[in-house]
Amino acid sequence: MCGKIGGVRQRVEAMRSAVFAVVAVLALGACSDPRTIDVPAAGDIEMPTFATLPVDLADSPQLDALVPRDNAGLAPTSESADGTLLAEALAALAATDDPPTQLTRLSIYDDDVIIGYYQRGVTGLSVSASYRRGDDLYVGEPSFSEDPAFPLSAVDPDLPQRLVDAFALRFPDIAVVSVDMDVGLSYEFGLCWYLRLEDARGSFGNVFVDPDGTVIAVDVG
Amino acid sequence: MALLPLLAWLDLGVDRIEVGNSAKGLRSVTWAGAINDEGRLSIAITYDTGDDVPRVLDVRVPPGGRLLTVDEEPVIADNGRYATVRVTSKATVRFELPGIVTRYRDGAIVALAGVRNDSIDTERMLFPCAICYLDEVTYGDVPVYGRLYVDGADDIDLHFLKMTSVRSELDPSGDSVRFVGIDPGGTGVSMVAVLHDGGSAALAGLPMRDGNVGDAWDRLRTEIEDVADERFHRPAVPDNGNPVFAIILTALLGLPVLYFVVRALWDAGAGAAARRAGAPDSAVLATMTRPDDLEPALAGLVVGDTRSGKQSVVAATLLELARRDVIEITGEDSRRFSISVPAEAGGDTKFENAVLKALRPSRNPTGPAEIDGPPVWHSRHAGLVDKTLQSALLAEARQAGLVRIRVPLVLSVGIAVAMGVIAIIAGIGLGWALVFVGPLLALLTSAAIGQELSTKGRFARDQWAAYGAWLRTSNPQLARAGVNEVKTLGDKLVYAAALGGAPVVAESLSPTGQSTK
Repeated sequence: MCGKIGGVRQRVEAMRSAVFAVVAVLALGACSDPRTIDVPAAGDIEMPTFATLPVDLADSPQLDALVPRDNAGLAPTSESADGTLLAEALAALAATDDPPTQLTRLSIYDDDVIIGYYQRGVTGLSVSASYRRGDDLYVGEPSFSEDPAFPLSAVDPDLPQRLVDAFALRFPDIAVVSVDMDVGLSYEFGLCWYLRLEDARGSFGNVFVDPDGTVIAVDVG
Repeated sequence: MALLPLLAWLDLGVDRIEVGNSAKGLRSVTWAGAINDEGRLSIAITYDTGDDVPRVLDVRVPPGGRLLTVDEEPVIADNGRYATVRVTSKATVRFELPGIVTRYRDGAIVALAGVRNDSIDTERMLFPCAICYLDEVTYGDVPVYGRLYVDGADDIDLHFLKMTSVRSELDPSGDSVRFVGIDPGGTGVSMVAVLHDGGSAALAGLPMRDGNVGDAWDRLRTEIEDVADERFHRPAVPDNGNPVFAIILTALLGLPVLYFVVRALWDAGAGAAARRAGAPDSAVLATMTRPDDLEPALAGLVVGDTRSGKQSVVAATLLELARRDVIEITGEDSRRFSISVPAEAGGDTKFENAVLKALRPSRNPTGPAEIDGPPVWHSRHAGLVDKTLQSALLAEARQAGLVRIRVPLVLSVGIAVAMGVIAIIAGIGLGWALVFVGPLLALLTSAAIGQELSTKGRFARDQWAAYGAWLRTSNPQLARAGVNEVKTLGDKLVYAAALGGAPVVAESLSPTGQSTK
């Protein structure tokens, strides 16, 4: 007995193994937890960029979302809006005795333009004017309305036709049947142009365009 | 224990946040925003599901959001705000959001938070409820990473609602502030950023409102907190660890090393001095007498197997008991003998009593015993006897100061507890575990490393090894002596049995039949 102090080597080895096993488990527990987070490093999150207005509105990136339906090769039955009427209509409006600086509605169709505004700028005294090429501007009788108004200066008279041309170029089987500027039709985008689209099947969708021409949203259905 | 200093050093410069009950199906949300000089915010929200399961994501853009894309692809959206897409693994929702920045003469407020219908506006948030709009996501904590880019970010305060454990850091470039936090439950987070002078200067294209930013923020905060069940809170400054704790933990870990170094130096010095003072030289061996009255078993213990030869501390003890007439050994030689243990027989030491007890029948531990040998010890009981006697002898040796525990418990347990407490104070992981598990580990470690001869024990070993050598070289008759000769040969045979000079009697009387036992 006692050839060596504590000479029960097998027991010692077993105990050593147990100690190392416990330490290893603790170490693994400490090092393997993936659920710790830290402030992201300087290069971790890229800066989001801002959209830019393309020179050709047909290249508007948001229009990529618009996928024409299969219409068996048929063209839309409705005519596209005639944006060139807008400049004429606004000129006719400016020629009136009391030209408005604020509008409540601007709608451009294939053969006429409807303009809403408050007579003498009096809120509630709403009038609607209609313009057809070759005719005089027709101004209706006042009626009560409290629709929100927007400044005439926000209107780029050339933009509606540029938009119609852009759609005709990119989507020949889709007609922009009306181009409106109306606070109510701008939803929560602020003031914007509201385009109604039709194809051979009928109503197709709507497109929202900033006053500067940026296509900001496409709604189909 | 070495993990703690390691963790403490690794924690320096890092402020990790632990995510507890992680949401399944959504590993993280990463939000990025940039503000231009017109106050428009460009936003990118990345959902990382953490798996490859295809999911349906119902996109919800705050009022006014526009230019919606998912993974860089423009998508159709009802009124521009509501879309449904299929995503796998990761999806990044991008859009621009005007109208959420309000500029005042002394600053500006970016409000991705609001009130609607007397409750938190869930449509105007940093990002909407993930578990509501992303399929197969369970309720749980969702890590949120974010970065807000704006000129003058060095003068900006972030305030969060429904986000916990928030930390933020100003980017060294000064053009952005980065943040991290946890969306508990994955139900969405609100944020208000208050830009002071520097920030507002970057919004030159945004019309200025009356009033000041402080009053505006107070009004907005009051309005929102009135309907929320919590208050806005600002990010904490990241805790980048304390090098003092790391140094203390490292020093504590180094204490055992220092202890062993000092003890080794001390032992070396003490051993050398002892040898100079008392070690016998060869000239003395010729007339050597016994070094002292150390019990034969302890003499055998300290000498151990430092020499070759058959030896047995049990045999030595039996012979010593016979020499003193405590027991009687009769017979012609070592091949046939009898041991008589009277009922009243008692030893002078614990080990002697342990040997006597082992000789007696287990059914009558105080009664007389008659054993014919060899063997003295029944083979079935030899192992148990050996183990029992070994424990008794070690206890006696510790009491005599001849052996010591290699790692003192006061050192190992004390350091384990101290390191655990410091780790808890320093907020380092494993602190609590070490406080409770550490002492147990220390005990196991001490037991595993075992015992060793003390300085006194090593001195005794040198003395008794020399005496053993003298017994073997100067008393050749001991090697052949039988158990019955203890009366005539006296204590020389006793110590020879313990020190390897009497292999015949050692083998005859040892418990396992092997003379070294």
